[in-house]
Amino acid sequence: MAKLSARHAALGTALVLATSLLAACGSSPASTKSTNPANQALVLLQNYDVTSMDPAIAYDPPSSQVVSLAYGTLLTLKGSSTELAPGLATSWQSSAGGKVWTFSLRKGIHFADGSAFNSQAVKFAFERTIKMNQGPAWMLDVIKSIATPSPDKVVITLKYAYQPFIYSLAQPSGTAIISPAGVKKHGNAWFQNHTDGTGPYQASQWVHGQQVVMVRNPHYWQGWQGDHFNKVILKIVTEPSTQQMLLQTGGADMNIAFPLSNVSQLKNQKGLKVLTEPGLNILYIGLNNKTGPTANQLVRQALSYTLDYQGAVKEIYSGYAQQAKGPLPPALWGYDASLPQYHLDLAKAKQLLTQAGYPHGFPMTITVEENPLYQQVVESWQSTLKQIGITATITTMPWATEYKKISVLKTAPSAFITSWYADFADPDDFLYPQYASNQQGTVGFNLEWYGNPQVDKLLNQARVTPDHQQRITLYQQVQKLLIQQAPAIWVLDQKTAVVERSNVHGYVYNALWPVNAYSMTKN
Amino acid sequence: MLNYVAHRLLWAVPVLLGVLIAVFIGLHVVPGNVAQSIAGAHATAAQIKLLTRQLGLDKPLWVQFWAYLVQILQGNLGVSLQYHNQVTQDIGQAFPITLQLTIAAFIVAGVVGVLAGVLAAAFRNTWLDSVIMVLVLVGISMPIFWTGIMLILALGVDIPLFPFSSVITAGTVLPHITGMPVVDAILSGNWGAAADALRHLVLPAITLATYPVAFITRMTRGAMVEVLSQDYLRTARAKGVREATVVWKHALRNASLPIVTVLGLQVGALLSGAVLTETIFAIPGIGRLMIQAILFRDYPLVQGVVILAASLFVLINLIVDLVYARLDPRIRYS
Repeated sequence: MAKLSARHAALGTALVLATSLLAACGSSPASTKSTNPANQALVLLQNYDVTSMDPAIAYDPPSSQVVSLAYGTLLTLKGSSTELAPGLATSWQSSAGGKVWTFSLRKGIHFADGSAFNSQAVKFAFERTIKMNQGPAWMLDVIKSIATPSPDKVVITLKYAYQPFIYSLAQPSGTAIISPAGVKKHGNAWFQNHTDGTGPYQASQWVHGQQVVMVRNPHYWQGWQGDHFNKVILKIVTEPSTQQMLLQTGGADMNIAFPLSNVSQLKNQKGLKVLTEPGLNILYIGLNNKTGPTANQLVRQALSYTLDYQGAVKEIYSGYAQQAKGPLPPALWGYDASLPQYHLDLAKAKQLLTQAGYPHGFPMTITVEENPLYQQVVESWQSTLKQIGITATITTMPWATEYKKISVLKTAPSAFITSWYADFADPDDFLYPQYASNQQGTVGFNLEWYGNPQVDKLLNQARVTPDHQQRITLYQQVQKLLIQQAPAIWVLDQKTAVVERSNVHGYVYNALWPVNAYSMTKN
Repeated sequence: MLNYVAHRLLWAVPVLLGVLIAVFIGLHVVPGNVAQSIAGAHATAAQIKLLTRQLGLDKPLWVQFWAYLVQILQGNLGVSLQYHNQVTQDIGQAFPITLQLTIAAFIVAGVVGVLAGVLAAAFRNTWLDSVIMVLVLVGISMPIFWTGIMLILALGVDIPLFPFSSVITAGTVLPHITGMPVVDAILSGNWGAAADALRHLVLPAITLATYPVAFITRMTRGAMVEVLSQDYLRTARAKGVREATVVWKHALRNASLPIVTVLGLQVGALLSGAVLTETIFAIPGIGRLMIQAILFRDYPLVQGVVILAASLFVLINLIVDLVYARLDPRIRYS
């Protein structure tokens, strides 16, 4: 045993020595020490892991970030707006009221494997997404056929006229163009962990749960003149405190969706820029429009006057939100700032309830998923409801359980709270699945069981109207009707927190588009 | 001995089967449609139906279980619904990283814990004993999360001695030999990467080891105090044996059975503590993989990780039992 104790002592000493030696070794990797900006790497923090690099599967923000860097799409969005801009297509036009779409493609573009990009590649990529039937496939489900009259022209015929189609192409999920030669060579499964697109950076390493390393694509069509990053590293860090310390110490360069719970601690920190930008989302309380007291429009209007909106914005969301005005967020085209807005007015609510035949209130049920912010909003609502005689029972459950409950009319509660995030920059993406009568229950996302033939007519008309201004008018009419009929209580539009180090330049925020590292630099 | 090992290993089969049935049923009775979560909120009913069929989720539960069991017996844990990879591949990538962290923390916990425990017992009721026992109380009371964040703030941010995220500097490419970055770097002769990987290991290993160190110290002290008052040690001292020899040779060996039991139990605690440690230090180990799999309802991956964890516990218990016999020749297995 004497030997053992000596070994123990030696081990302890060795550990202490090794620790000190290691600590003395210095910390920075060679790449971040480089003085040449072009040799530096951009380190982007991701709140959770990438799940797929395949453009036909990738649907979550970290996966879409990889896909947007590695692949090209026919269209993109202009700057921070929701206005369409050319991508791999230089121009586009619709005919037959939005049933047929013709795209002229950019010439001389190659995939990372060196093969040429052309109309056949577009046809191949879209048909592949539809066939694979994964997350983003629904956006292309409307396609009936794709014709390729020439290498730089592609004609897409839809099953029915659908103007929002063009906007669904200006985002990376499901619509990014993959190399047909690459798929032929490697098979579909290979693309889960590898990329072969026309984008500026291609994946070179993916350690699940840790990082994705992307390197320059030598065939990138915009070339590599000027300052650009050699590498883009997506670092997966789920814990906000760790993210915070990485950003402070330079271990990471930016996060475009920094957890709101920790943002205030980063404000006024030396070496960091914190931007809070409007998001394309809406937090709302859906009301049961078909059964119980909430089926009465007057009751729904009364309930819309019972929420402390400003309290939710300031106290619960720490100011990183703004009160919603109807079902569309202000950052989306079609939003109408002149529409009326509900506010906390219990006297008015009481008056409407009396008018509706519920002068003494009624009992109601509210379901909420396990989200502390949502829970706080409904708890605050519960206390104001009590003041006008409405006894609300809140039940918290996982989203999967809640969805199962609210998507079946028999088990649907009086109210539920949830958020809707944009898939693409068209009001149809917000309004149709949530308020068209054929989208009730599990069919779409009309979990309020709302139905109004007039709204249906306007929504369908907006889908086939080619004129943009006319579409805006139609959507404004829809919003007006919805606010009046109050199928839901639109609570707030949550902002997005972008945190970047002060030496990072060139980032342009777009609620629907991930980081475009190609146009960024660092000094 | 061999008979005993074979007997114990055979017993592991029903244990693992039981665990598997519980997890399989547990995952499938929880509400929520995995096809819906893959296809997204907008997917049409036809798309979801097709996906449900493709995933085999439309078949009766027992048919799904049987198919899964047959698959496992063929060494195939299935394909992750989330990563679309073989589950064995994902676990193969994550497990060595957790193993490396656990081994490092185990070494720290074992060495420091036993040393401190022996010292506290040898100098019991002195100031040294009091200091060690206060530290033990602090160590047992500190939540892993808090310890981790404090260590990062102190030794990662304020005095930037150690990196505090992931297992190696981003962009370092190592050959996959064992999957443990430190070992792979050493085996490939990349000493710079080995030092880098070791530096990444320091803070998580200390964080993970804090609770086990305190626990092992307390148990070691208890066992040693009991043994040190035995008559045979008084005899040894009377014969003029040096106190150091009495403590380290005669007493520690006789106190080692409960210490080994605690060490064995602590491996389990380390594996579960690794889940939190991996979250704080952004380490892509089995704990993080498990959390992500549960959140996504990735049945095959959750099942794979549970089978691995259950097998590990069975194995650790067996090893502890075998070490007993090695330490105390009076113990025999039949």
